[in-house]
Amino acid sequence: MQRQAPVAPGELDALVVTVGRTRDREAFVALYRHFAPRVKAYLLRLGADDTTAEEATQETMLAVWRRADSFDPSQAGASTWVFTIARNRRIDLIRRERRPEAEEGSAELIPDPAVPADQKIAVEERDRRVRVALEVLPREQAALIEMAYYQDLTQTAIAEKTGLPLGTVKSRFRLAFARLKRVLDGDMS
Amino acid sequence: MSRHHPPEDVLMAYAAGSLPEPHSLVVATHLSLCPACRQTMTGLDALGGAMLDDLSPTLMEADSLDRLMARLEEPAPPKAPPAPTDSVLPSPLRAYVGRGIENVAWKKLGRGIEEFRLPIPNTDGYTTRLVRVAAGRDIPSHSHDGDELTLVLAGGFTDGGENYRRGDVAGADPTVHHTPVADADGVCICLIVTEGKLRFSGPFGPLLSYFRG
Ligand SMILES: [Zn+2]
Repeated sequence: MQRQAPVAPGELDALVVTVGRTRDREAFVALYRHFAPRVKAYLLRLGADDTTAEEATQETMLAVWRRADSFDPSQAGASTWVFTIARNRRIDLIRRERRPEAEEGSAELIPDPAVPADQKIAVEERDRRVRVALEVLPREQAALIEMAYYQDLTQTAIAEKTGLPLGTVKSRFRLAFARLKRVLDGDMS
Repeated sequence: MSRHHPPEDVLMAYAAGSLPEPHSLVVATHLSLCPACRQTMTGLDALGGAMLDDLSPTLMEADSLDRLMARLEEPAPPKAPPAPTDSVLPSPLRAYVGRGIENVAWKKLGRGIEEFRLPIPNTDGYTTRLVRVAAGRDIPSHSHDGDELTLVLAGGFTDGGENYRRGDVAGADPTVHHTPVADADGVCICLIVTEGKLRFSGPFGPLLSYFRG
């Protein structure tokens, strides 16, 4: 497999928008080259065997193709959007469960009165802050987040696996979560 | 506005996709009612996106792209229409209950308590139910163990000095004795997920244990 130069986030967004608007196959292939090997890596990390990971990656990319017209770059970046599709495909195809979700944009959602639309942080800024947060987290806290996303582990299972007392796992997790939230809310310290 | 949110590790497990389906249903229903947690969730999804980007790409099968391209014109599976809205059941939950709140087949447990069990396949070890408690009803106090999540859908209850109303989530703390009392202003309806077949531990758990032995 040919090694690809990294693609800038804005470029990925533009590719998804193009696929959504014009069903452009070249743009889709570019998305495939960036995302498919990462989605498969994600599924393998979570314990899928190679065949299953390959199939679930196909299904994820097929959903990217079919739903590209509903992608809204003002709501989420392309990587976040693809992550949510891959996550949900995994739940469906590998865990064999349904994924209940609050319907985005549905009239029944109780809207947030506190934040006017023009004061919400832009997607790019949010993604940048998430990266900062991942970098500034102390290693033992970052490891917990990794375990939550890539090992399907509950706090109890993490405690068993690491040999740490459950109380320690819980307090580290709380610290990590609070740190993430602070950074997302705009406090970069 | 909700004042009591799902525990942080539960929110993160939902974002990561590792939360069991019954708990995910509690979170999705809460998200319908809580803009603050929806905001948090967009950040947690973005975290997943950043981590996906950081993964080292793995090798795809040689024919992977060709097979995919050959499938692009396959008809997409029909999308399930969204569940109709309901004044009590937000759409994620409405889809599981399968009918409106006025048509739920409640089963009487006695003392002003009724339940309806939600059929969720492949979730051995969890019980997911709607519970309806008459206004002002107090609940016999028990000690307990195990995990439980309770989400208020209508009315409210007070437990341990905290008041829980529509959208609020109460987690069970195994170390605390609960003596929850349904608010006096109307019938209280909750979605309750219990771990373990016969263990009840949250605000209304003791009551359910009481009736089940
Ligand atoms: Zn909330």
